[in-house]
Amino acid sequence: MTLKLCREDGVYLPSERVGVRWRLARTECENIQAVELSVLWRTEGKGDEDVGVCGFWRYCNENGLPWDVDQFIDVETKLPSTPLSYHGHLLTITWLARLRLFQVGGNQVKTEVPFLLSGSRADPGF
Amino acid sequence: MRRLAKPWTKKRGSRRLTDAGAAAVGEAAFFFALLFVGIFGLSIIIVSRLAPEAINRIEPMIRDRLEPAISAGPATYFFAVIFVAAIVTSLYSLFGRVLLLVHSDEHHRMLRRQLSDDARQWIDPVMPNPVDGDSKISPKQSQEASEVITTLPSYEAQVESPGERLTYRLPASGPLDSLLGIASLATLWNTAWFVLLAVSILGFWNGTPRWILTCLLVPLGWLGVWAMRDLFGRLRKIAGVGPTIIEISEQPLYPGDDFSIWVVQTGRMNLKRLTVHLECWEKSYYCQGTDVRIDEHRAYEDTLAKQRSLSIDRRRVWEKQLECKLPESMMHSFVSGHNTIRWQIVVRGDSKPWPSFCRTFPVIVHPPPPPEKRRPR
Repeated sequence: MTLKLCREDGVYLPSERVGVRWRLARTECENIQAVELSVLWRTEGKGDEDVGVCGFWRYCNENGLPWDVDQFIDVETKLPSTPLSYHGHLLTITWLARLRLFQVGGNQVKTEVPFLLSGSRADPGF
Repeated sequence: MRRLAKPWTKKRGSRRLTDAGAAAVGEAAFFFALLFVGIFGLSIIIVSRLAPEAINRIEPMIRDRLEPAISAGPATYFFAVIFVAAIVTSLYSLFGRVLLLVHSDEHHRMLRRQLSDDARQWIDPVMPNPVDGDSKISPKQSQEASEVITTLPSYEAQVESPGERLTYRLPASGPLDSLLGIASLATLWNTAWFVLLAVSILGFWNGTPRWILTCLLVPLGWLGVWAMRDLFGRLRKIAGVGPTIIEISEQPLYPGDDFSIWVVQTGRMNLKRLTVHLECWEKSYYCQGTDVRIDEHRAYEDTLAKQRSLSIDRRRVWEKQLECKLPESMMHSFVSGHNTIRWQIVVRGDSKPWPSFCRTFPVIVHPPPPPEKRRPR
């Protein structure tokens, strides 16, 4: 599975649009049950995990896939103003694009690409 | 050493000790048990109503135990409500658990959001549909986040009270809430204790002394005394120290902002030290077994004012206007289900003979606005 963001530095500003390009290569069409792509933030650290989904796309393989498996697919969504990416002592807020492949038989494969949502491109980290 | 499998999850730091799958099985087993108990109890009640002769065939010993549930009195309706509640709760929880197993976490959240959006549209049909994300191939289901900022705390409480010298007077958080809790506890506990005391005295009066109750009155009374002492200690602290007033020039704040605060400390006391701080706290909530724990960490602290050996009385209050600057690269206020980042102005005083005090005034910090939308000063 290939998952790429539109910006190579992976730094985005609030309310900016994030483009995600993905494809499934070398996968049998019959083995694919569904594919989910999401753009989300999650907290990590001492507290229980919180997740906020910003963009979500689900592609079901009901009567054959509507695209060629080797083809790249582009999607785009607008990021919200908050929360900005944060790395603290008790909690870390991470933004990421996540691609999840559901295979026939119940197996799941996922890949993630983290990125930063920052107030300024010059000083992206807290 | 190999750990025994536990049916609930436990966190040690940021590590999760128990497998989430085992926790799901434990939770499912509990709700299945609850469902079967509910169905069994409700069946007994229904059968006792529709076919009472079937109940007569049950062993007399078991029938006696079931008597409160199958008798025609109000207890029957009470038990019926309990059993129906057990069935509904377990079915709802099992349905939620199955949804989590079938769908990914993200999909589950989107379904929940769709449900709440549908409900909102039903209430307010003018609300537009959520916009789909852009994709060349149309997916089965897609949604984009609405522009509503949900992870920033509301600042309505901070701006609802105008100030005398600066724009807003900040509300204090803390002391009255804790006072209400301990006052309720002390009142209820001591009321119950006096009722038990009356029962015990009546027992002696009637010649049937209740020795166990009388012995229990001593530790129970000690707890009542402790609650009253704590309540009076807090009242003394609030009454003696006097209110603290903080006014602020703007709300919400933005990173890099210059702002002013005006601090007034009233009361009648001699203070060894009075300090005013601007602080940022990270707060995390997590489950440890069946307990909910809270952990806090001070991520930022700036001393705005510090004064030693001062005396305050009714005619001479301590007041000061302070100029502050919020750092450029600090995190904004943040609230989610289990984690928060909050900014606050803290006034601490060490005094004698009054107890030391600490009062916090939450302030809201927003992320920096886009450059083209910078607010006019």
